[in-house]
Amino acid sequence: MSNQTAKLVFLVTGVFFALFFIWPIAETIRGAFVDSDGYFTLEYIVEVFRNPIYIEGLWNSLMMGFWSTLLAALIAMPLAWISDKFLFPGKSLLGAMILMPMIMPPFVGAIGIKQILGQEGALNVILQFLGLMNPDAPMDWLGEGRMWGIIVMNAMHLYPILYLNVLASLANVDPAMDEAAANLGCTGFRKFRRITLPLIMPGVFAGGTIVFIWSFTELGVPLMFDFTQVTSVQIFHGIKDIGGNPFPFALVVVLLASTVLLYALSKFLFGRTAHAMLSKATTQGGPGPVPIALGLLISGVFGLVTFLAVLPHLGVVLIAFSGDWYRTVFPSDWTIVHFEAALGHNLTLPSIQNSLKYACLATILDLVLGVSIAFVVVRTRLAGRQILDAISMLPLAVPGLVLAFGYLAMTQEGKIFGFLNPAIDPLIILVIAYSVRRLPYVVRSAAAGFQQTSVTLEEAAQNLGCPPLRALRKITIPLIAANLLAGGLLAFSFAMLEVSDSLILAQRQQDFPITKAIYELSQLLGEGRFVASALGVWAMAFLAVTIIGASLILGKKLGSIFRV
Amino acid sequence: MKLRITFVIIALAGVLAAPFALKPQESLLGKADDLLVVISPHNEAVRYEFTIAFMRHYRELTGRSILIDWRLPGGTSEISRYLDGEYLGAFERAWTNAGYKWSSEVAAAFNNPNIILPSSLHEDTQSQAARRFFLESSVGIGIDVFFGGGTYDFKRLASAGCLVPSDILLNSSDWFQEGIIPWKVSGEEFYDKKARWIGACLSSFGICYNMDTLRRLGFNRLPASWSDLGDPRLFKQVALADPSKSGSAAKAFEMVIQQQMQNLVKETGRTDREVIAMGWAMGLRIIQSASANARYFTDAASKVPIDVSLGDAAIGMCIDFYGRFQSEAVRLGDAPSRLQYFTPVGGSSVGVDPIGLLRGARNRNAAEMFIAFVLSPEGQKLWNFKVGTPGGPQKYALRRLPVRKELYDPVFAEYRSDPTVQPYEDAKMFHYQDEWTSPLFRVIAFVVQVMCIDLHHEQVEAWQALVKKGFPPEAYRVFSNMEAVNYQAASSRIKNTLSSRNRIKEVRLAKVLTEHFRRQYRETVRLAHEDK
Repeated sequence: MSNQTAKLVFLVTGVFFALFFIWPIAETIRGAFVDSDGYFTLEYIVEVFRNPIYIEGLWNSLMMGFWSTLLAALIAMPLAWISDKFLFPGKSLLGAMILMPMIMPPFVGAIGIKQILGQEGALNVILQFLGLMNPDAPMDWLGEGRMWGIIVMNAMHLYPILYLNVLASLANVDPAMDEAAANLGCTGFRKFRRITLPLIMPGVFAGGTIVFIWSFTELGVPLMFDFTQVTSVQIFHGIKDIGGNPFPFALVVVLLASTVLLYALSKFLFGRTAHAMLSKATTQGGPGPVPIALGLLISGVFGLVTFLAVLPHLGVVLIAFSGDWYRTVFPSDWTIVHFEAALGHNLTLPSIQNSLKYACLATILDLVLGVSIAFVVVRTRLAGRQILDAISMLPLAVPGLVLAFGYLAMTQEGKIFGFLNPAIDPLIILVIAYSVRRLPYVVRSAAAGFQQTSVTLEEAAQNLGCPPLRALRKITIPLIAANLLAGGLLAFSFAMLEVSDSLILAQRQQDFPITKAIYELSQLLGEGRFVASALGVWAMAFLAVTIIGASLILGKKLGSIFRV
Repeated sequence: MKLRITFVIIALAGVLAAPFALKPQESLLGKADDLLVVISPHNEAVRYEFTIAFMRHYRELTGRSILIDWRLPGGTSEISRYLDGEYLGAFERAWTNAGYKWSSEVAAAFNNPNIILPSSLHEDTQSQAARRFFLESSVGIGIDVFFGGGTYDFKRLASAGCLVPSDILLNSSDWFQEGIIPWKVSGEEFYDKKARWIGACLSSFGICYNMDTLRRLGFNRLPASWSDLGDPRLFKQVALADPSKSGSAAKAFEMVIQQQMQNLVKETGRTDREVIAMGWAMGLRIIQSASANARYFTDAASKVPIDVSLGDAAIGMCIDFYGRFQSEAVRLGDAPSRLQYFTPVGGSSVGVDPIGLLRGARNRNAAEMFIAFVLSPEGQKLWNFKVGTPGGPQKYALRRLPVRKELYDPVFAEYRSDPTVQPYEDAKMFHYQDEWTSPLFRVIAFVVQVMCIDLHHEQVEAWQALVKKGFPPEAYRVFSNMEAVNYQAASSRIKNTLSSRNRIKEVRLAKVLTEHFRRQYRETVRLAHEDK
């Protein structure tokens, strides 16, 4: 790629980010600081901090983020450590199944979990059967601990992100370090705390940050649990009168500022000591065999965690096939009629087509932008390329809700981007919203590809007379196809499951993506939760086929696709 | 590898083919010649039946196809706020495009019904100019019709100028007579005489309960009145909806208060302000105790009967057809449904869910035709006829009650889902006194917000302490003290603040009142522990 082309790519991607990342955030910030007469004011922000209700919302969001991350870490880290150290029966299958929680948005899982943990739900029936609970005083698991229900749902959905990051970090730890520590008398948990943990901290920090931001700003799950005292839900309700109410703007700014502050604080506390290893491993590492009994125990632990994590999914699957499910462990009768109702519903087919359209276009846009950015960052010496790299990762640090709100604010009629108003046609703004949020995955996977593919191959082609762009297309792109497929697939899957942008930006029924259709159907009286579950099952089946299919074609294990 | 690829492609095709194979014969979201944009809190079942029926009706009359683009921002109260916001934005664009300066004064004035316009526009102040400009404009928000919700929001939007007169009163004047669509029934208006809104179906409010759960909680007698929601045995078992989101929940709370006022008027034979104020406080106390028993305040009123039917709550307040619909949905065979619904005797008026034409409707003709269809005998049959009956719905029995009186005639009984329900007869049990509570409709939602929802945790703690100690008199007096939100304060300070359209003032007042009740609840706990 010539220097000119590289500069052009830099400029185009820079402008894209300025327009669709910086602008929406700036538009939101403006709404929080400008009063209806057009003058600067701090009144709205100050009022947020003066109001105990908003403070309580912020505190609850913080707790939601903190405990979800901690719980996810408590699940993910031991699993990753075991997986890194030992060979046990069914390892590859169980390792692949760990990703299963990610094939469904947690708010759909909430329908299943409500059925299982309800007062007349499956768990209470089992406990009553075992004589562990008085049938006249069943526990109201969700009513008593609604916040904990949300935390568990978040953690169970998000721990795979941490698991993959920690596993990747563990794989990079030089076993010689472990051995040296052991030789010096540092063993067991002390060795893990003093040696292993500091070495894998960057991975824990990277995964933990994503899990924290995700759960700190999660919208769908608190909505399904009727838990309104969190900032994300307060913003969602405030959006209804966005034209005349400054408080959602102020809340979004507070949420964004909190995210940045917490990120900086945790970076200061945990992320600053990256222990780079000077040399590659000098000894043969990797997992070792364990006695069969221990191996089975480990498999059991893996299986149990996966079972618990997919319990909401199982609940959703069972509801989708149930005629009635009340005061029994399993549905009392079975039917497939809900699939007919769900797939034959007038919202369904258009929503599937819309989701495919939005997700495919967003993925293509991500691939084009991602490859361009990664190329400039890895293959050129252009000044400022590191800034481009850093900016392209920023969407990971900005809550989806904040961006979605910003897009809505910047496309209101009368604004410069009024022509993208989602009430008129949300296609462009939704595709952009979906792609900006997932761009980091594609940039990282493409950059990894470029780094692992020697530039000499391209240079050889150019020496033989192939123009630079053609050399990139004919030589390098095919060589990094697996990376691109991995990144693209991740971008596609998450776009299909998108919740924040979908709930906020898709306003007309004919534009609903599948997640919003599921949300709408779940509100129906009578058959609502059955039909919503059936559509959820369809979405899970589609994503499972897509991901497993890609891994089959790639010939790699499922997990490695997600290790970007 | 080829085998793998073939396998994956077949699997993917299979999953993708299912929705195509099962797609409905008639597409409701496909491209059409004409468009109608409707904003509505109605559920999917109502939307589906009216879409199918109107599409056919429209084609028969015009030979053209039509797409109904439903906008669904949430419950009625949320729609009402959404419309306010959208009209504010649209008016600002129109005002500034005309070369005028935008200010907070203009923003507060354009939809303010209290601004009186002088006969000559030369005498207009800036506020009056803004109001006149709006009323004479065709400022629109890209939405044609508002369909469903309570009369309060329709009346408010009509007086603001966001709803405009439709031609229905002129074109179908014979429908608007005592025997078909009466103007007023037991104090509730059924349509606006300027046709800015017209009642499309009837609704009343009541209580749904789960028979299994009540039995488990030791109830030998079934609940009969609103005050039963405050029974301490129902602790954390009551399902309530947030009145600031759901118009139907707000109306149900209004009914609780009205009934107390009416009972007092009957007992004392007086109708003066003192008696009304006492009724107001008594009604609020019932709401307060129901809230103290509440498991949650949900944002969607339809969740209440769903959760009660699942046994996640024992009892809840809901709109009549939600209760009936869900009761039928969970009924197994011929046995009585585990979910039952009733309207407390003399506990609710029968009101209407209106339909109205929005200012600046781009598809005015289609909108007028839709309004006429909804009110016509054909449209009205959809509300309560069984699926498959002549003129009835196609897929969902809507279990709602039509506004047209003639459909309650015995000749239609065999077609109706609820042939025994006679709302025009039931309406005689309760005479709605509009002037007592209607001006305070938003205030009720606000008071519930500050007294119950925002302080639910503290309220529940105080209630628990009261129950544990057997309701010590002093502690209960403090708990249920309504001085801060009494009828006087509600009609003046709170109402004025809410009408000022200044969100900062509103939020500050909410904070003051929340802090007041927080102190009250903490004091209750302290006194209860001291057995006072």
